[in-house]
Amino acid sequence: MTTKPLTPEQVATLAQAGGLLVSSDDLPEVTVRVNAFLDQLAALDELPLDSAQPIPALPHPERIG
Amino acid sequence: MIETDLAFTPVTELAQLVRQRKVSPVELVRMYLERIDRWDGRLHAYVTVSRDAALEQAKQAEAAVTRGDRLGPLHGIPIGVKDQFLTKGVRTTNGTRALADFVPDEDATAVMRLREAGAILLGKLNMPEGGMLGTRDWPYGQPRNPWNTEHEAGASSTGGGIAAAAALCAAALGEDTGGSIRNPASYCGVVGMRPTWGRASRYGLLPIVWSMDTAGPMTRTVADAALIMRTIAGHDPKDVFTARLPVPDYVAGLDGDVRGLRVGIIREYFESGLLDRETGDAVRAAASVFGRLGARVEEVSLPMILLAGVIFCAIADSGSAVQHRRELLTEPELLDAGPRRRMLAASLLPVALYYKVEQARNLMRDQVRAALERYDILLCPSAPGPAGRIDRAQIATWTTEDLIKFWQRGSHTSPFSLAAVPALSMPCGYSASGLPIGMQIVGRPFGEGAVLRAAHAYETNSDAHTKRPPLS
Repeated sequence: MTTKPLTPEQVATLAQAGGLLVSSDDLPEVTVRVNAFLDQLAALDELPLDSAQPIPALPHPERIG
Repeated sequence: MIETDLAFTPVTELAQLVRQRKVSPVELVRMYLERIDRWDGRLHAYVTVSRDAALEQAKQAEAAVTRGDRLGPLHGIPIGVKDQFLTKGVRTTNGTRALADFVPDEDATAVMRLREAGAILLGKLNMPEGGMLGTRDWPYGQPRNPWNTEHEAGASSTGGGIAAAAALCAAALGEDTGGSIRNPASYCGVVGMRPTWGRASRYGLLPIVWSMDTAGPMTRTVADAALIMRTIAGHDPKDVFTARLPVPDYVAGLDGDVRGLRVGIIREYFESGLLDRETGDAVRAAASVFGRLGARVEEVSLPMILLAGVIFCAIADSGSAVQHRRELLTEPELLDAGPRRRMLAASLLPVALYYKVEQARNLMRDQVRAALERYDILLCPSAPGPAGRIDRAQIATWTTEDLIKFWQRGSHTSPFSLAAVPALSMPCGYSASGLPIGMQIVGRPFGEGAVLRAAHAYETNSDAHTKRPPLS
């Protein structure tokens, strides 16, 4: 991870801002999960995303509807 | 024919036997109900068994045969349906305690089409909570792999894999978002197919990810999968994203001819260090069967493929969090800790990151589809190895290493969900400990026929599908 991992306290604050309550039992694993996502998805920065459209992959839109 | 042989008889043959009055629908339903009574207390394939309704439908089906009525292609065939599909008059839990008493007043389109073809609903099949892998305390019983009950059965069409493998139904209807049909099919040694997104209706399917959810068959033979696929496929006005393309006769297309077929075997899986030796050997041996049958087999590189699992989970966990937001906000304790923690974490990802994930998904789609322009089908393992032990899958608190391993495993099925192309898992061998090994055949958009034809050619020239779980 290039940035410092989030602490459990920061994750709890983020959740609260989004109206979600994370119990003390859940908080350690939720923190691990958020940090793992941020770490693993950092690899996307190496991809040529500038020309990629952020749309769900639709099969042959012309054949649909 | 002894009863066990009848239970394992392919749907294509059972339908003929019913039509010829050699077997009655009542006899079939009773036989599968007896097998459920005998084995399901341990296997937990079913959430709900519709005993009385199934017997009543069977009597009506038998009367129709006696009258000489025109019969559908699945007339009198007892099936199981994943508990994610709405079923009229039969409770639909979606694997959650929150829906323990929910009885829909209509059928999902796929279920309705199976019924119209004459199928009889035996019951609803087990699944992890909301279709999310990582469920620790299964609300409707811990499912077990019929090949070794200490091992998991895959997810999330878990009950479908078990019921098809152990002949607790003639065939099953599953749902696949990122591998939910193909993973249990692989672990349980049956055929499971995810069609092109838009090929079969999602109406009445409790959603996970709107842009990847698909309905598909779980069967003991490729021909059975083709028959079920033909039944459920096609445009549905209730699902605006279903294609208006005509549905081919997939069964008639199973001619065994793969001469000249261009087969690309995906290199990255074999170089990742993730694959166990037996699985790699089994898939390579399967590729050589295609070669012997006249196909041209080459390696193909898809550089992004091992990123698919984390990309998929960022999308799927976020989608599930939206679907279950009410429970997350008001009754989080109703959700099992595994799915709850997945959804909570995904809810906290930055929107800008989600935007990048969707961009990456399109790059993945482009890579997969570019490979499918050079090759007619792609071949790869369905999972890095056979089913793991249940006690090792029951993780109390996930670590970063657990997550990375989970996402890497998901990278074997989710690329083809992200690319919205059809993919089929079928058995191609067994580990030394006797667990099934699955391989995947991937096709072009709306190329279900080519996938099924290739799978059938392999099945006809191999014997992995002929083994039965030791419990029978």
